[in-house]
Amino acid sequence: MAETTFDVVVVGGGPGGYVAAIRAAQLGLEAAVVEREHLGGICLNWGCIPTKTLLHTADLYREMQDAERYGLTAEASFDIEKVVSRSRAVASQLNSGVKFLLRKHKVQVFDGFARLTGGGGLTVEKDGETVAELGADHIILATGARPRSLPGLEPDGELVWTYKEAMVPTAMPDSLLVIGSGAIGVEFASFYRSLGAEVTVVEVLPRILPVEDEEISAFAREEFEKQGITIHTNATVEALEKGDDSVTATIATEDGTVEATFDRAILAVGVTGNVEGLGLEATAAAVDRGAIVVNEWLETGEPGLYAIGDVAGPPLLAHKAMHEGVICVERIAGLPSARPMERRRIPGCTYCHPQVASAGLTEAAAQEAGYTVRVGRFPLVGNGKAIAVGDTAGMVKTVFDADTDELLGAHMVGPDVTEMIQGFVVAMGLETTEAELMETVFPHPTISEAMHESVLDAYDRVLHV
Amino acid sequence: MDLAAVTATGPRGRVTEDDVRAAHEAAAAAPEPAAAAASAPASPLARKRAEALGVDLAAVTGTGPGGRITKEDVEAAAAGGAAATAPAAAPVAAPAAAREDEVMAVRGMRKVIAERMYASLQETAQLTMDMDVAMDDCVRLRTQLIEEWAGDGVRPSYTDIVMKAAAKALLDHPRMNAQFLGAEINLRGEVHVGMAVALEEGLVVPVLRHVDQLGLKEIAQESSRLAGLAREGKLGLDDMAGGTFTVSTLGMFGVDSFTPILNPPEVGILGVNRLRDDVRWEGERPVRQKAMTLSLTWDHRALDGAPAAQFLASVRDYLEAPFRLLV
Repeated sequence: MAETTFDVVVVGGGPGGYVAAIRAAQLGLEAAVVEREHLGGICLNWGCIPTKTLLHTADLYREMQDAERYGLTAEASFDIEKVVSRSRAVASQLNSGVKFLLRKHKVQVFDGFARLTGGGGLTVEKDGETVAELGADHIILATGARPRSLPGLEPDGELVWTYKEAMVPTAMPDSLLVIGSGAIGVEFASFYRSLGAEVTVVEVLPRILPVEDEEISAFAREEFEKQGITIHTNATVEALEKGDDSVTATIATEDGTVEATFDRAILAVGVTGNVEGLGLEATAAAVDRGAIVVNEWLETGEPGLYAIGDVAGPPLLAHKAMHEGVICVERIAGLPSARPMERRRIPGCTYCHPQVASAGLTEAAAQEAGYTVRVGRFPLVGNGKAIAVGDTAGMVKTVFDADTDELLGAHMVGPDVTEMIQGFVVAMGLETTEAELMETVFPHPTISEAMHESVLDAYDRVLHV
Repeated sequence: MDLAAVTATGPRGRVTEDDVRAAHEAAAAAPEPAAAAASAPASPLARKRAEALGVDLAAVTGTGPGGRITKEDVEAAAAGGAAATAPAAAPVAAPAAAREDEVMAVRGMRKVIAERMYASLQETAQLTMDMDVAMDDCVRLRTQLIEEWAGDGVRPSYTDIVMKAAAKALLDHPRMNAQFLGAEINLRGEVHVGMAVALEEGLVVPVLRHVDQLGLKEIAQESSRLAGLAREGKLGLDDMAGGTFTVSTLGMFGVDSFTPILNPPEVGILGVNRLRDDVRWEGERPVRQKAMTLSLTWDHRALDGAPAAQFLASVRDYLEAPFRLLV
């Protein structure tokens, strides 16, 4: 078989991979993508996008149930099959969109599983047969990650789900156990609770959404509990016993061990990189705790071999993967403006109700890093727009370095905060201090005014509290 | 257009779009280009840091988008410490030469000290703060210990007592018991305290090992043993290596306060000054008390003023309640 050669071959067509290929094409490099399943990866097919579709449905449903508050009459009911099928239709539409984009940029797509053969070579296998042999000066691994499983709690796809099954339920479970309270676990807890399921969340750490600022975690927890979600922190699921159509969990909590039966369980205890079967063993690339080790330019220990996105380690976020793809390719192309990413400024968003969004250091992390901090807070009960739309459960917290007035972190919980956090991310990227933020005119009435007030509060100038 | 040539009117001296337009119009109107207003494109935070650190932005190379100067660039420039030009000394009328100059070659110990002290000041961000300590209880304790240990020939000095207090405070404040190594700060697990000893040829700094685990009596014995070796010129290289902190005393020369120079990569050095009579107010009544000033120099690259002050206050607290040094 004749070897087809490219400047750049990207292994994996998820958000990191397809963006890297498009950027390579923009820079005049001949690029190809090898994808074993779906273009768009987990994000687009089984992650970010379809879950946001489901969560939007949940938001509408909750508001319909609440219609009377707004002087409306609505009869709220749902058909889970249709809810799921809309989510799948959205994923499929975007999947075609990625195909179109790659074609537009003349990026060749190979359908199959890629394996490194050394010296810039790759084979593409499909159903056990080699379907292509590729050669490239630069190979970017963007193979993503898959759910981590815990011994004794292995998902079976029937009673014990991963996010994949949780996204396409054929029937609504009456009760649901969610193991893990990171973004994925909390989003599913929020979705299923909104549609009426009895939801229990078990988290091994002392608080839910453990990467968020402690105050935000506590605020979100209180809201979830008001909605009727049962939350056990400092707790572990010791055993899962499967029945015919239910699972019985033994949960060790701080107050002792409890046993409870649920229709279904979702395992959401994190993910691990897809590093197997790629032929990495024959290279100088190192793997540490399920992730390929890379430097700030996404280079592995093997010359000409790069890794981006989830397989290159946390944070496991599509936008981080896309940006790494861009940096990696710009560096390969020798673009003088290429710059490593400020990892601290990567925002994180969770689309539960209320939403959670943050960027930069938490108050505790800032203190640990040796900063003397100045903290500002503003609750949405003091925000006119939030009151107008009837959604005041939320707050904005900002963390500044008291010595330099650098904005170190921003933490938000409440309606639409995932759409607003970029304001703080832009501010951090431009290295603004409190002065520019305070001098910025925020539009009234918007929930974003709470961002302004939070900054003012940090400098004892808050207006509406 | 060269942004450096634009007069900035935005917040913190930022160049706004209007500034660029104004400068463009001015340039178009004037036959000669306007004189550079010396304002390189820099982020607001970078400008603020430059002001705080005394860095001239015109001398900083920007690494941000479009060559913009970032906070990191300013801090790197400050740490690089490109020779800050010393102000020119005022001319002084030369007195009539009374005797011949004597020229001493800078070599041996003098040369080593010269190089180390100069490098320390050039390469670190060191600064000094003072704190007063009420010493009445320490004076009493020392008198009792001298009596107690007279038979053993052990005589604890104030430096020994301060060293013990410092060792305890270092355990409470590990950020001060550290080495600044550029990319990382090594918080040392063990406490080895260097003790500056003045000799005629110059200064030597033998190191007392595991001071945190030594009793006051052992510290007194060890410091007098090392001082003896130093005076006899018998200190080995091992005796002077591996310190995690240093104590330097000038109190015996009547010094009230001074700025000790760091012994890099250590991040702290504590100056011990003279014991003096001081006044304390009890309500409206003045009371005579013994006091001493401690002078702490620390490396601001490794830790900020607040934690440094907390460490120093911790040393003071041990000295003001010296029974805590014995338990």
